[in-house]
Amino acid sequence: MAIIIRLDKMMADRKMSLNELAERIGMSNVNLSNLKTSKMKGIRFETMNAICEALECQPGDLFEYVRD
Amino acid sequence: MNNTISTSLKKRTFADMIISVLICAGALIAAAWQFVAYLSKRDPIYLSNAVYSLVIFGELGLISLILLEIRKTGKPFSKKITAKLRFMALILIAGGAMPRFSEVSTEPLTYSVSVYFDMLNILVIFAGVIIGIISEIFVYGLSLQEDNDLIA
Repeated sequence: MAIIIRLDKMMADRKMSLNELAERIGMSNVNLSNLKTSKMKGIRFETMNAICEALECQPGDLFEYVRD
Repeated sequence: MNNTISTSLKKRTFADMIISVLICAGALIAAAWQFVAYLSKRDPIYLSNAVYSLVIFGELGLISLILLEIRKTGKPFSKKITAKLRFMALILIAGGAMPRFSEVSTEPLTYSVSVYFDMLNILVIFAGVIIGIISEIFVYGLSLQEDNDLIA
């Protein structure tokens, strides 16, 4: 897919583990891991809002468009 | 699927499952009792009743299995549930298509078996068709659920 999720980079910058982020945003580790590895089809605004709040970032920081 | 919805679904199905298991056991006992009555009295009406009780047993048994599956997974849509619903529809259609037998005496020492096929049979067949249609709705529900599960 042309849209890449930069969740791992943002988490590394904030020194936050997957488990910690999952706990903060109220999501299961499995689902968050699937999101991080681009296995999900989409993301809800609600989830994106929680991630941005936890990582103190903008939605644009989480995604990158790369032409195929 | 949302965890809260799954948990409340599991709780809601518990009482339904217990009730359906109890009625299912009752239907099996009724079927056995009717069959024993047929063996002792040789009246075909008891055999018809035994078969109808077995149909009820099959239906409620499948409903119990469906509710058990929902309790285990917390999800109402799955291939197994769709297959069980289709089987329920088949059992109802077959049960409804079976006419009711009864023995009548036409003359002294002469007996004949009469066969009834009335509106009740058509109603049961119609109920089977409706369950068959619901099973197709479950196929669509499954694809929507799979899609929803892939949205974070």
